Amino acid sequence: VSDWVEVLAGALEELDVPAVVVDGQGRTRAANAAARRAEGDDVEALAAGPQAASAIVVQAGSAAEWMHRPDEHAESRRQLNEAQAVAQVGSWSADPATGRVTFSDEEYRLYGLEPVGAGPVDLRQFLSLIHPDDRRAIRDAVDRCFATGEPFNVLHRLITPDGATRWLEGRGRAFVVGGRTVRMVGTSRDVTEREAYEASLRATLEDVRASRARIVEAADAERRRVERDLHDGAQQRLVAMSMGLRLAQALAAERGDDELTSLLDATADELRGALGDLRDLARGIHPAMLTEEGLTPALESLALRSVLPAQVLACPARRLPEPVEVGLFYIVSEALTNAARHSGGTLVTVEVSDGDGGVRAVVRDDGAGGARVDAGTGLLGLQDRAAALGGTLTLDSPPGGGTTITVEVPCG
Amino acid sequence: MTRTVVVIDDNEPFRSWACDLLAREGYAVIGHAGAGADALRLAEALRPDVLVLDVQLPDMSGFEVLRRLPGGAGATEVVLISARDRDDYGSAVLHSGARAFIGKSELSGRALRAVLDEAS
Repeated sequence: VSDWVEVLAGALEELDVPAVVVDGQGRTRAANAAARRAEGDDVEALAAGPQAASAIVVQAGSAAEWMHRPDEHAESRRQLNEAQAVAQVGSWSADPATGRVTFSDEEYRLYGLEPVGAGPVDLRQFLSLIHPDDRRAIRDAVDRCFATGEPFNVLHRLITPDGATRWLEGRGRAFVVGGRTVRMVGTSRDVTEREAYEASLRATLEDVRASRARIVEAADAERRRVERDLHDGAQQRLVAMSMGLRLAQALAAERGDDELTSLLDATADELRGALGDLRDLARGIHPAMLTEEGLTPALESLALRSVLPAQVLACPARRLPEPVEVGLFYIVSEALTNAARHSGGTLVTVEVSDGDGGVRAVVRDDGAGGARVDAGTGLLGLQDRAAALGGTLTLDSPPGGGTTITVEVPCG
Repeated sequence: MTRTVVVIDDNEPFRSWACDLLAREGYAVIGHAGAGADALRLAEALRPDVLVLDVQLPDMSGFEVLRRLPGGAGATEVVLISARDRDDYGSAVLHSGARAFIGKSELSGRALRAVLDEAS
């Protein structure tokens, strides 16, 4: 205990507030210059005194304690309690030497403890009020604070004696003197309403995300269905017709009917044109290749059709979840169109790679750069596409430095 | 020498007219069917010179048929046909092991001969 006093006395030397130390034998001495200045050598008066304005008295066998005149002490305590009640902030103070925790009135109320203002709380009792799942976090934070002096801020739940769950934001810090933690203080703020609000916001956001993904998937599924219907219906019939027509052409030629042959040739040309239009239409609606054979051939097909020379440098061989394949396909498709229209470059490359828990697609051109997401180039729509997959799209397009679009989407 | 052909396509009017046309244009059409499994069976049983194979079949794709043909296509030359363009399949046609690809609206004995003679 006397070590303790000496350690504290050393720290007190630095303070402007007068401080005195009372040792185990009841002898009193000034602990710092302020005390010596205030009362000369008569430090006894300072230790005893209601006549003294305020001073720190360190007494062997007890913790350091701020001494005030009793009336001032009571008044400031009352004001503090009122302020804490209004702010719904409680405070506590812990003495590591004894393990005793002192609560402010509001801290008692936050923890649902009765009667308010009862004696010190046992550290174990205090921990037992905290939600079992959060105890470890609190213990770790307090232990670390005690050991290193590092302040803490821990969001945790507590179970009040009537069984209700409350969210508290607990902050704390340690007073370290001579390398030793002599006191820990902290505050608790009731953030139950804020947490409930944030939880409902999070749930709403999750709903919106899921609903956006569903809308995109439903639209993709509809396009796939329309393409399939076109292919299986009108396209197949017209293809069969063209074969029938070719047979008719052969027959007409065999019979030497030139007039009929020329009519059939003209009809066959028209039909070929109609089939071409239909193919373009179907391709624009949904790339059937994507569904049937996966992303690699579908992207290669895009590259083959790209106005600006395009190369697929890499693409995972495995099949990815359908929404990911479809999303990446549309993003790359639009990025290639953008590169052809706006970049003025000579080559655009596509690289899709499988990473930890996600897929990354990079479309890079060697053009003029200077592209912006908000410039009406469709990049905003691509960002939405990536976001619907829970992913991100980033644009790097320095003037003169080409344009790189990077899409990262989570993918199991 | 007359080449033997098997035609696989699930669009019946198309298949029937295609068989007719190919026969008229000098091929011996020795079999035809509408599914990938039939294609595998007929290729094995009939060993045709040419297998005209639709890419999109009800039970499996033409690419899948090619993957499952025992010992690859062997002596049989596989010509893929589709209502879609070759480019729509990216590099899949190239990697499929097929001898050639013909758009369905272009298929004829002459077109077949052109790609086969070019390929060999």
